[in-house]
Amino acid sequence: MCLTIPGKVIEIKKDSFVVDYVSEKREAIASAIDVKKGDYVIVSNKIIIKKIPEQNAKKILEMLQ
Amino acid sequence: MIDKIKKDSPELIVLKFALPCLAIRVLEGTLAQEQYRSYESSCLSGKAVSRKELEELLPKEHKRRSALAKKLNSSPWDREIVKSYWSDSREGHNSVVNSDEDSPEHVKEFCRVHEATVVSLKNNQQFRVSYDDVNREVIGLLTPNVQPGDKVLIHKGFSIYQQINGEYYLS
Repeated sequence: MCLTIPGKVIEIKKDSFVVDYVSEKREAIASAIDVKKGDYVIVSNKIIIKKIPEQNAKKILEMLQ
Repeated sequence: MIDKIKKDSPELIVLKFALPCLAIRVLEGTLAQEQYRSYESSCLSGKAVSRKELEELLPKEHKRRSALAKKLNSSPWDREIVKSYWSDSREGHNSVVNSDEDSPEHVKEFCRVHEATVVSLKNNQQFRVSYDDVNREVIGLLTPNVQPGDKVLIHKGFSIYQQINGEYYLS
């Protein structure tokens, strides 16, 4: 997708991840990479595919405001 | 929305609309800063980037634009196809954004192409625009000569084209 906007992993459940996009939370059903709470990630087709450094993710999110 | 883009080649239109995505790729770590700079300077100087390079750089954009071209019995690099891909909200880029299920509405809103009005100038790189009920700052690199009241096309936090006498030109 062209929507490469990062979200923050705020919860890791037994079989899903909760990703926070500031105004809205979304659920990802799987992850292709190791993630922990607090990581900034990109989700595609409900799967976490990529981790983004926090500082860079914040720059992208700043553009959004 | 962009029926009246003048001058630019189809390749340059694609590169300009994709420039904000490329800027985000730099932050993601998937595009080198100097490569981004060279695309940015191509946009500013009007220097062409080859179709092959753009197809490899933006494979998804190319695939979707090709699908649209096929449907309309045309070529993906036909200037009219490029313009309608980037402006037709039913079949083009904005409809692809709308159909994305992973992203919340405010992200989709950010990713769609909008026609906006310049509200105030911040500095020669940034200005504030409004459209619908949104008011946001954009990077004005590609449209350096705007004044409050001017209309611009924006994509992902960048102003891409400025309207002059009812038509969109590179400023």
